Amino acid sequence: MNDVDRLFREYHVPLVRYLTRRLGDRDWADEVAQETFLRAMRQETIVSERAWLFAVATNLVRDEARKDARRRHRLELLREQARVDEVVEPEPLAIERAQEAALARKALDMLVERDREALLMREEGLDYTEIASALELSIGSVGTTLARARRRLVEAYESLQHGGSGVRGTHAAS
Amino acid sequence: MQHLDEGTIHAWLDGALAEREAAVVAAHVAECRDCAALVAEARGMIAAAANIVSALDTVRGGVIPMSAPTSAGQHSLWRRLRLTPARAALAATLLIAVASLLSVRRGKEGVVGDSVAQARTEAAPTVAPALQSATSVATPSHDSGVRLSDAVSEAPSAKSVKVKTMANAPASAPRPRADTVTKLAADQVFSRAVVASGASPASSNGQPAAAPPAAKTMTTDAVEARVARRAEVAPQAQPAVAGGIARSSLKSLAAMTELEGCYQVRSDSGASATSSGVPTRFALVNASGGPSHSVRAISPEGRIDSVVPGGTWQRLTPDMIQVSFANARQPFALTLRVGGGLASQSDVRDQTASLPVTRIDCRR
Repeated sequence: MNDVDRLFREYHVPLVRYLTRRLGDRDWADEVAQETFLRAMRQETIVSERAWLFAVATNLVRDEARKDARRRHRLELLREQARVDEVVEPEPLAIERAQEAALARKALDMLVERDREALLMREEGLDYTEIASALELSIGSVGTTLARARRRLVEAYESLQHGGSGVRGTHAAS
Repeated sequence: MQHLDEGTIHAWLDGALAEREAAVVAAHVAECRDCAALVAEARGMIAAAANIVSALDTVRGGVIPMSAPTSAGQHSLWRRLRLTPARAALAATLLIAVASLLSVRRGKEGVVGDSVAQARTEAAPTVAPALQSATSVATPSHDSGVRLSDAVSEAPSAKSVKVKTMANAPASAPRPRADTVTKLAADQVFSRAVVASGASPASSNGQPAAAPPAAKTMTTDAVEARVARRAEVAPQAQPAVAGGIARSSLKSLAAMTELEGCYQVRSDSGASATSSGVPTRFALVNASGGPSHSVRAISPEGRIDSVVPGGTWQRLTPDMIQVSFANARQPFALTLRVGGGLASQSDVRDQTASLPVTRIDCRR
């Protein structure tokens, strides 16, 4: 590992944001990010730092999601409960934003996992080579993956906005 | 040439194609109406998807709000004890009462009756300054407790002090800044840069106010605000990663955050940015706290949009930043000098020209 300090400074914030968007839970995202950086410290050499970090974080999420799906469900329940308990007369703007965020979350969850991860990585500024490396795709297929992810996300979001229950060609992912 | 497939179009728009391949695609799009329509649609998809993804964030524009470091040492004991002026006045009254009682008892024990009277007359002149002091104490300042205790030692008259201080206490009770904060947050919720600048003055005053605006900005969605607040302090609690890293990361982030925001290149200038394919309005986004960051487009509604392919910016000196657009039709770089207005130099194919760039409100 060449420079953990620099690695942390450069990638901690985007990694946590990526994970937060991916998981919908900031605390969980922080935990995964921390584990990712710990692994980076143990790694002697990292060739493509950003791709490596995002790949490790993505794999950790997948492993954890597989191992403990119930935990996520429980967190969601707790979030909902806390929302009910704590929100007092929210402002219209807050309601609007919360609805937007909920729709976005649902729409994103309707993408297949690989599409979702590719899209979120791209939004964090990863280039096609990095995305291909992190997700073990060929570079040539990244464009197609992103195109499909974007189209399906927008279609799902619009469908949800109009009260639709599902979108053609998409399915719920873990 | 065959029509372009969707993946190629997205790769082209994302700046992921090699130069030669990109030129072929550009030439085809210029000639083929069907493909031009697909490109337009893809542009819309990219922007819309970016918007949807950014809606997942607690604050628009991909921000993870940063709180000012709130170490325990920054809070006074009085604040930690939640001392309000009213409580301070009550405590002062009790202290004065006890002090008076002790004083009178001592007088009775050691001196005859006229000595008590003398003590009362001696005490009287001290009441007025004590009142003044106690009254001034009942200000919103959280340091009031210290001065109040000084006043107490000078003022053996319990009743008069009590009246004064209690009368002043309600009027001087510190008003919560939540209203202001909420309005600020509501006005600026979509502007990452404004959110950041809103936080810095508060922190510069030495108040831990950066966290409340950030939390409020989080749409008063109490759960997310709570989560974010926890998350904001989380980086400081990660000694396992590397000692002091999180704190220095925050400092770096704070410095870069000052430069974040929306900028506009005046299109009437000599060296036209638009001819080079550079957006006339763009946002500098401090995504990672590192030395170089992405540039994002700004939607007509003022939302910070998708990443401008090849767009990066970095701080050259404390008052100078460089914004580069590597994937523009012509590689384009702006050097912005911050402070006392913005002046810039643009470099297009080694030709340097002055190009006015102004910082703008993202929503305009």
